[in-house]
Amino acid sequence: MSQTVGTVTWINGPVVRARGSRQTSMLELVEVGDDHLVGEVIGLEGDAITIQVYEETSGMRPGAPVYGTGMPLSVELGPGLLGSIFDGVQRPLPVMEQHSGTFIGRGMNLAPLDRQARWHFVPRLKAGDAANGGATLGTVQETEAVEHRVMISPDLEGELSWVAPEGDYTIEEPIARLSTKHGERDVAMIQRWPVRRPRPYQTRRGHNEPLITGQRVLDTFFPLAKGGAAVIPGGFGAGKTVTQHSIAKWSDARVVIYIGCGERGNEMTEVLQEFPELIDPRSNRPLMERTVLIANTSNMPVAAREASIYTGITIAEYYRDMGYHVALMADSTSRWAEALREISGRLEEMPAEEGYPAYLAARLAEFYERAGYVETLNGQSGSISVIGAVSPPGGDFSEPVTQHTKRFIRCFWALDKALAAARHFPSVNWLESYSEYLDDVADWWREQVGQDWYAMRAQAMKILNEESRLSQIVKLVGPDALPDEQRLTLETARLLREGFLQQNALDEVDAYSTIQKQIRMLALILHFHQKAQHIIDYGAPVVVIHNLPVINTLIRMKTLVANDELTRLDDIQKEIDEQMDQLEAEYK
Amino acid sequence: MARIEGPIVVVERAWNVGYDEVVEIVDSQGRLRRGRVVEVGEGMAVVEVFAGTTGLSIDGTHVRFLGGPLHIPVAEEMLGRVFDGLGTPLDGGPQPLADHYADINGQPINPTARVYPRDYIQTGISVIDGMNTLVMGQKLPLFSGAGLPHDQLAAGCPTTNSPPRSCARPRWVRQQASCHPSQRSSPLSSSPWGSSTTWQQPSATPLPKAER
Repeated sequence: MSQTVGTVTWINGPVVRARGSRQTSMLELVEVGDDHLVGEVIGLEGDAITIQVYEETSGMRPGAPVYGTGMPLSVELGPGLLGSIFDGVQRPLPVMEQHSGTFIGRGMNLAPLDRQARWHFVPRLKAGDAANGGATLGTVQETEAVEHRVMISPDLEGELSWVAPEGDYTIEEPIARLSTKHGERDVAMIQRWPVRRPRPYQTRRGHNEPLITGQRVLDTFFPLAKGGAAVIPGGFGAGKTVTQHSIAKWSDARVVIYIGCGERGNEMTEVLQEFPELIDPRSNRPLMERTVLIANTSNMPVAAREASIYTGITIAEYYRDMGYHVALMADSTSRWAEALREISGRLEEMPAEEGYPAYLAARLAEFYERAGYVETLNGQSGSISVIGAVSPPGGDFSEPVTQHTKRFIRCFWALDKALAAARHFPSVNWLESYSEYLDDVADWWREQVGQDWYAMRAQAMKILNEESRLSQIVKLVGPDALPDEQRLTLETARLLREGFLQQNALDEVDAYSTIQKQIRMLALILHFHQKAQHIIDYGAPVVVIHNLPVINTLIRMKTLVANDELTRLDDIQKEIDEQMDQLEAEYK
Repeated sequence: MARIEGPIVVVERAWNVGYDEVVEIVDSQGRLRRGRVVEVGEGMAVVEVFAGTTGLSIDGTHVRFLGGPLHIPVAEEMLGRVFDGLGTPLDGGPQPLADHYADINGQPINPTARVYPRDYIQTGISVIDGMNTLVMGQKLPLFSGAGLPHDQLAAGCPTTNSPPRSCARPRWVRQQASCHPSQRSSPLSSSPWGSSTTWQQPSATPLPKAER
């Protein structure tokens, strides 16, 4: 399949130039040198070919052969993806470990998907049916948690002349025959798709359904809609990775793609060891059964880091096309942008802001725009929600990656190191974060919980904003100088912060909150505030409210009340009412 | 030799040179220094000279390409010895006898082959052990400024350590104290004390990876 298309003339790290065939096409996958290192054509000029190589080029010499493959960098799609761990160019890391041991060898061309595994195929279409691209041919139970819908490649169209009966097949065995305009074609479960080309869909839909993460500060205060894009910026140690892990664990997406892009190897190992042990609260199966991990650790080749994002999102699109909701986490896009910068520098391109290439914004847009809630080719609806982490150097949000990313996302979860240091997790700063999906998802909340989430959230935000304003004064003159009404605001804000926003990821009860619990908790705190305001109006000092035993209950209700015993919140409400009525009687 | 600029030397009419190869450069006085190929083209190579280019001239300088990336001998006998950045002995002793030469560029560790680091390193320095605990297999940078005693602190960590198994007191630590602290911390994680847990295959115990 591969033939020599040229010879190497110049090498500078991952960038290699070669001279050869003018038939080579842009973004074609090539193999370089006697080791067959995988690379991609990124520039053509006359007979000069510029290649970015996805592996270490140490020791390579000018004159080494370049082999063409005739196709662009693609990923293999089919059953067996879930539960896998790939590197940036979709080589399976566990298989690689069996072949080359602890270290990653060079020039290993391993098949991403297991060729021997047999999958139980149940046909849905029959011979004679018309099958357009994307049509669901049949199903395979890929894992207990996820049913894999075997689809016809979006590029094909025709009439089925034969469909295999129910039975066990490998991914390469033909399971159907399609008569197309260009003749008969065998269809197998496996398909290939170029990573840089978005998979087609019918139409885009509006996003009006939030991605539920079980994290109160995110769901209630800064919701991300399914099909939307969010960014988590935060400096060193602000808790980006922890937040992303929580979302990966608890979000209500059916499939989770986690791209560890330039991450520390040890952190990636934590994910690799933790995910298989975690149980998905919805299906009661290991989380790994709905997860694909893509790992390009900080010392793996930079060019593969550039590709890892595209590899991930193409796999996400494949599951979206089956009609699933997919959440894609990229940690961190800053490392990815730095990979772009390194390659751009080696190509001797003109640097723009802070040395990043001028096309940084275009590349970021290309990636984030592949998120969306769509009507798929087979008439189902699926979505990809992208959650990208950005690690701005020095925590400075004005640097180019954060700034450009902000143009393409509508949900901004600003992590705050001061909060993380104060053991406030998730350390999302409620004053700096924003979500533009509030209006979109308001109706959904109303339908689901029957309460006016929008108004309640606005009221809570008002209290928190007021607190931040008042705390400036408190710093100067101390809390005693404030009128009781404002001191009550501080008290309620503390309840909101400690009782609602803060969430203990290690506590069994508190790690995940259903939206019903979230809204009830918020309602209780606001109810408390309203009652207390009345009593303050009667002239009671704020101290008596501060000393109420129910305050402790309110702060601890997140751990006391499990998601399935929300009636206990009614008891807390009764408690509030009793204690408040008592005070009211005293001061009326 | 076609051009010399700062620490960079451009060599012409150099054929069959590999990227990242080690280079030996002999100047007109016959002094030897070494370098590394940072870019290669047809009949051209760009070499970064490790010891600086002072005294090199366009004519009269000989360049020899050694045919591969920098490898250094690795052996247990290296414990207690002093070496320079290129692995040549500085203590007047002979080259250690070794049957294994390792590429200093190393190879990335497969994340699936790693074990998550959890084992504690006791340094005997209470502010580290109590407040900012070190863990075997992690990277341990020391952030410092001019005039601060980071070298003493870094050298203090392993010497005050009480290793779980008997092992020669690493005398080399104090003498190496002027190099980058992270280089020093890596022998900790790959030394015999840590090998039982940090690496799955003790036979493949890696070299401390040199940092550029």
